[in-house]
Amino acid sequence: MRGRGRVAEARDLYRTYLRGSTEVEAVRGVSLEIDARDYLAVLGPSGSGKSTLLNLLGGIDRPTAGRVELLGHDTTALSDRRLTRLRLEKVGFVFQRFHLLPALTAAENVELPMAEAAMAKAERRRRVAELLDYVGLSHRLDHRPGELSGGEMQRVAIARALANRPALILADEPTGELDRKTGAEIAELFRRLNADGTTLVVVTHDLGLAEAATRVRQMRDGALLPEEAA
Amino acid sequence: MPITLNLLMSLAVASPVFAQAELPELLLENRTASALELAVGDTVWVSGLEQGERAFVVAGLYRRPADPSTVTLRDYRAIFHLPDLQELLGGVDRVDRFTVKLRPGANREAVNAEIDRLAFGADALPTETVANATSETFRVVARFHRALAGITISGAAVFLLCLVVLKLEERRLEGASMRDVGISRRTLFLWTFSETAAMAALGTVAGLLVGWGGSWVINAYFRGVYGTSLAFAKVTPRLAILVGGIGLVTGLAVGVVAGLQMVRSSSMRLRQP
Repeated sequence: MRGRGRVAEARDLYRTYLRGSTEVEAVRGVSLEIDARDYLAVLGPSGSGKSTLLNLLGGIDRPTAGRVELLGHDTTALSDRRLTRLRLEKVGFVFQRFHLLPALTAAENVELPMAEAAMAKAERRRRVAELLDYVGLSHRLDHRPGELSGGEMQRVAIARALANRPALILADEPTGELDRKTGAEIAELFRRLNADGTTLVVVTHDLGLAEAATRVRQMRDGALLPEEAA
Repeated sequence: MPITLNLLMSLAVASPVFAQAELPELLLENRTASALELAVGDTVWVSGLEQGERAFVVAGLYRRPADPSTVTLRDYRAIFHLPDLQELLGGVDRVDRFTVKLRPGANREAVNAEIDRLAFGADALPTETVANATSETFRVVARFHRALAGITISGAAVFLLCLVVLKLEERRLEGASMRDVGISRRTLFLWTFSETAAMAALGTVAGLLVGWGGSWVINAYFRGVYGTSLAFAKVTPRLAILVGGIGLVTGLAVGVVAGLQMVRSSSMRLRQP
């Protein structure tokens, strides 16, 4: 274990899906450690199992075999309820397609996880303003996702991921829907997040995003290749 | 005593050159006056069945009572004083039917008995009995209306259910995203349930408003066509409560189904097309 504290650890993970009558091994024997303040980029072609690995690390999906420890909790042994609570309080997700709720404003989207965590309203409002300011959207508080550009929506999604001060941010192709310039801005935002102490795991095709990472792992056919120096 | 009678006689219009003070008076139904282009003060000639013509002056207009059994009749109607009518018909002391209006609190049975005693062969009937005898058709129609309403409400409930299912299909990804960011199944259920229930409640209110508006339009149109004050469509408070209750219960039931549908699947499954 590294000196900074282990945030997540995967041991000999397998994830098999049934596609029709065929078994597909999306993740095969993956072991991985993520320490505090890491910025890990997982690179690999489509279908290599990157997103599945991310889902397993974040407790969205459960492995067929192996175990995932998140902040000392064996997520494979947690009930759905406790796992959901753990995700709410300790993990932030950023998705390729943002996954914001279209009926809510930017501020309300960011506020949602805080409300679920029963944070006091005044504190929520203060933190929403702080987070949207951090991602450069303090002027877009009351705009709905439909009124925002792709880059702005992704910034809101990042602010939402940071809402409950998570120990780990997991991002699945966060620049996949963005143009090159906007993607570079998001990459810069991730770099800043990590510099400010946030632990990040990003799965991506975007080499620009991977360049900002402190660790890079390649994934092929469901398995991780040996770690490269950043 | 004024008597209402289908005017089987012919009416002839005359110019008001007669000394009207000497002429007997009659009342004309407003539709009759309108059809014959008569007004108060005009003189009309009425030919009786047996007697010759007599001139009457139009003393006033009246509106036909709001009776659904006569609303579509296109006959001409007038009200005469009883002696004038008897004279016209050549049947003095002959009355087929008349109405006695009682003061509040009067003993109806006693009055009926007294009329039966005074007028041998007369049959005194309470208005409810007469109304019941003439409204059987409308009862049948009302049953049809209730059946139609039942079918409409059932259809609307199925429609609402389909709408919610379609809406849920659209929102699977939203549901998955909420689960992924740590929103509990309970919150997601309550969210979906309250949204669906609110949609049903709004739909119920909108339906009632459409019902009220529609009945206003229907009444305005047919009152104009038939010149009556009858209500052809009516959303009564009882009906509103019934419809509101059905809407609410349906909405809550659909809300539960929708909520369960959203939380029953894992976020991974919700994301699958």
